[in-house]
Amino acid sequence: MTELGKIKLVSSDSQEFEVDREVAAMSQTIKNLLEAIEDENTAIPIENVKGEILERVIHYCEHHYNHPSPKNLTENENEYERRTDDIEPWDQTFCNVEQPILFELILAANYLDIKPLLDVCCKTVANLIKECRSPEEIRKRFKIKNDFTKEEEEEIRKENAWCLDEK
Amino acid sequence: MEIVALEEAEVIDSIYHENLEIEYHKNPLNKTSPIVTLNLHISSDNDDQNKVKILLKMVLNSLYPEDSAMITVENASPQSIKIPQEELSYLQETVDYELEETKGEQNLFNIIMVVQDFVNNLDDFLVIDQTIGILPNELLINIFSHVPITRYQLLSKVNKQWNEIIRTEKKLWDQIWITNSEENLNFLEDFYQTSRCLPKAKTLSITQDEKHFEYETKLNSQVTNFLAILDLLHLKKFDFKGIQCLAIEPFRELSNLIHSKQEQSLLTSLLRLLRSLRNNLQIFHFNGSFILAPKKILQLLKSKTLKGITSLNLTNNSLLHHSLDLLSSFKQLVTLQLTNCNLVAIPPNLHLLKKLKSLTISNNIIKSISSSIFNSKSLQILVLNNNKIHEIDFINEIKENKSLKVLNLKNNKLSSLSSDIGNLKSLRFLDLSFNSLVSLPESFYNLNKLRHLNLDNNKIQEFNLNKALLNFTKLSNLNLQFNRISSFQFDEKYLNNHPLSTFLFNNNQLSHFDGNLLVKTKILARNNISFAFNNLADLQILDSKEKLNKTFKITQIDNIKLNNNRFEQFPSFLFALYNIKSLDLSNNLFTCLPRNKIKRKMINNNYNNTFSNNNFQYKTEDGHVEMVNKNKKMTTKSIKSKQPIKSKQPIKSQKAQNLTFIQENERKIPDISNLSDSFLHSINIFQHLSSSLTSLNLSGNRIFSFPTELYELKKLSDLNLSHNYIKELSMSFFNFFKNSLVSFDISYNQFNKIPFSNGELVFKSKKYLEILPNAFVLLLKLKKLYFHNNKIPNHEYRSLPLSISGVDVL
Repeated sequence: MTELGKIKLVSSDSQEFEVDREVAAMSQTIKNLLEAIEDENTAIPIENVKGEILERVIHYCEHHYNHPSPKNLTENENEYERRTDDIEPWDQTFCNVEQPILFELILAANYLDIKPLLDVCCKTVANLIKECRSPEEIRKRFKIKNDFTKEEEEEIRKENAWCLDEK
Repeated sequence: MEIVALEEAEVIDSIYHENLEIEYHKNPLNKTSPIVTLNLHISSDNDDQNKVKILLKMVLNSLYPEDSAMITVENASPQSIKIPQEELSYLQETVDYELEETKGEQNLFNIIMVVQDFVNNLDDFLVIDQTIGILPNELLINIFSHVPITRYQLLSKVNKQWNEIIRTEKKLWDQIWITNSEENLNFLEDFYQTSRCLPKAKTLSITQDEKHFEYETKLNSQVTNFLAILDLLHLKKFDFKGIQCLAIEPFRELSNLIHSKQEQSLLTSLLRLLRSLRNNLQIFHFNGSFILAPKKILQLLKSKTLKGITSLNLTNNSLLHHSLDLLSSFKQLVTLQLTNCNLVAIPPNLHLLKKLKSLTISNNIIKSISSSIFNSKSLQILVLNNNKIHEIDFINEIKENKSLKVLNLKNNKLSSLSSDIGNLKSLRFLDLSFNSLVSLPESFYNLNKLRHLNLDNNKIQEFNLNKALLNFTKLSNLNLQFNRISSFQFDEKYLNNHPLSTFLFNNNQLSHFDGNLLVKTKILARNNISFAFNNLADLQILDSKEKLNKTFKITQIDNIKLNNNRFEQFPSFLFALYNIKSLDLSNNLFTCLPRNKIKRKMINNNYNNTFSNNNFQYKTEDGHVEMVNKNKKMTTKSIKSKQPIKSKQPIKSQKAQNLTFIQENERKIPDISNLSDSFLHSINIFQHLSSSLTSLNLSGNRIFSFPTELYELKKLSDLNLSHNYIKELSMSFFNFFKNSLVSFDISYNQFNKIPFSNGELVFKSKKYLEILPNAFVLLLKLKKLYFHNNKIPNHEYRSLPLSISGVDVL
């Protein structure tokens, strides 16, 4: 039996989490599931998310449920701006994790459809990318394999004249 | 196995492969058997790689048991490797088989081939689930969309996948986002040269850079840069047909630098740019930063390109009266933003704009508003915060308005509201904070769609909570802090299932508070609750076991403020919150908890309980009797058994003078329905809080001696007891908080000497007896000590500077 107003989530590695229904409903995916499920006590399997990650996601939701964003309804979001410097301090700390966890958080946020979490994680990665000054630096930082052959690299150079000049 | 300097060994044969380097050396010490070195280029510090390493070593060692096989694993490839167990055992089997087959011949190379094959296939086990590679394209696109377009050249060179995304994903090129820095200027040049990447952008945004900008050195070139970008944009004849949104935000410092000639050329550039957009423009944001004179803005606004726009943002521009008239001719406007434009009135005739939904005129100097704006049938959001509005001129009464949902009048000078406000039937969000409202009209309670109501910082004396709860059935946020409200009356029946979750009422004049409001709504689920700055003397919440049960489950509150009230005893409601971390009880009327025989007994027992494993010699504060505690094995249990009343029994008498302990392992909800003796409360409370509370503020009370009940608080690191009447601290204090207290404020008390100074204190450390200058050195974690404004004669202070480093005595 779960407490009133609480639901149970089960991660891919079978860890169970009891969460406030409303907190969990910050995930559009879970919200939709909840509407479909009639029995309140059914544990909801979150198949694509490991317990370790799910715990963090729940932590994020609980915090933001209890501390609604100060951006109130009256502020017009400037959507045209690609800002990455507007991450709240709490979120910054939250995203200050090892890369594998950050990427798994992104996947989880995407799967669970929690837009603010997805945004804040993507912005964090974008900031990491922005700090790099060369493709090598990006590769090194994100452990990406350079799969271009030398000929291909040459071709890219020719193709994208604008890429050539790194003044 | 011998260690041989390899550089001396001649290489007989070698095998090189991408990941593996095997060298076959002549052994200078032993002519018959060679040395094999194996360099495996995979990343280290991984169990599985270590397995490979050990396995290879094992293989080679079993081949040449007397020879040295040196294996080094280099960290060359960034990927991490996870080799499944089956693969490892397969390798082992193959190697064993090879060994069996080649028995006698000791063909090293057969084995090496097997191992090499294995290493060649390591690629199959490269685990990329921990890198950015796990993200599907759509998520990479999301990430890239937060990276400035100027960096795309870098991204396209990282690998094939990224290159493909950057080149083909149209969404990424939707916006051209240019900041006025040199880097971008170069980019623009290059960008222009590549015809095939030319985007069909919908947004063109020229804005100031965030941080990377070095103000001093480049400021001057900023003006020219900014102009140059604008010039480049039209001189190069970019194809701007598709641009729907143009956003321009000149560098803020430009306004000081720009001179009239540049101002003119800026205007010309802007007009030319507008013209080149060929009438597709929907959104025009010109955060002018006051770089153009009002007349020039008027010229800008007259551009034909702007006729059909739906969104106009003119933040930070001084507007002429003429341009205000002009605004009502933008018939398609849906949103209009005029923040910080030195306006003295709402531009006339805006209510005639049939499509206008959102109007923001914050930070201006508007003094009075006419009610006509409320008669717009389309307007949903009206933001007028930070003006000087002292009245709403109701020449025309407000008719029933069904469109307006958000009204923000924060920080104005309103002292009263007309009852017409009740006609704004659709309001969901109403912010009237920082005004001078004294009362609310009766019709106010008709706004039955309200979700957020902010009346923070007014002079309101009465708020009809009952009506609010009854009518505002969707209200979730209610802010009434900093008003003059003396009581809340409400009917319990309206509380059940009410969505109210945030309710701020600190800094009022409440003398009574009915805790049912917290218990029966969702408020208690919030992290912080502040009762601060009221006249509260008691909080009656837990009057039934059922409610207690309910509140007990609430574990999220971690900060509670009860400061500046009139509490004399601990509110029983604290009992329920055993996860609380910070508790502010300052400036109340708490006195020292009553001293009586039972308490003395408790202290002694408590002392034994907590410090039974220490070996202190000390003099007690009351009797100066030396007592050595040798009782090393005294357990909590044995102490409890000494208590006269067993903990399971509920306390019956109203003024129970006896002491009870709730056993740690039986922390079920005790029946405290009859508890009213503050002494008992406090003990129980602190026991409950013992594992959570880290910060406690008891300053400004009437405490005459250190409350020994605090000895329950194992995690307390920040304790404030300033502005009380404490004269002395006992040894127990120092012993108990030895390893926890970081900040201790005992300033403004009645100490006439520093505790245990003058060598009174004998501390037996492991090796020898030490005489300490004062007892504060015993607090090992102490970083801050506030001891000033006590009654200590000056010369005594000399013993206070502590010999431990890192302690600030303030």
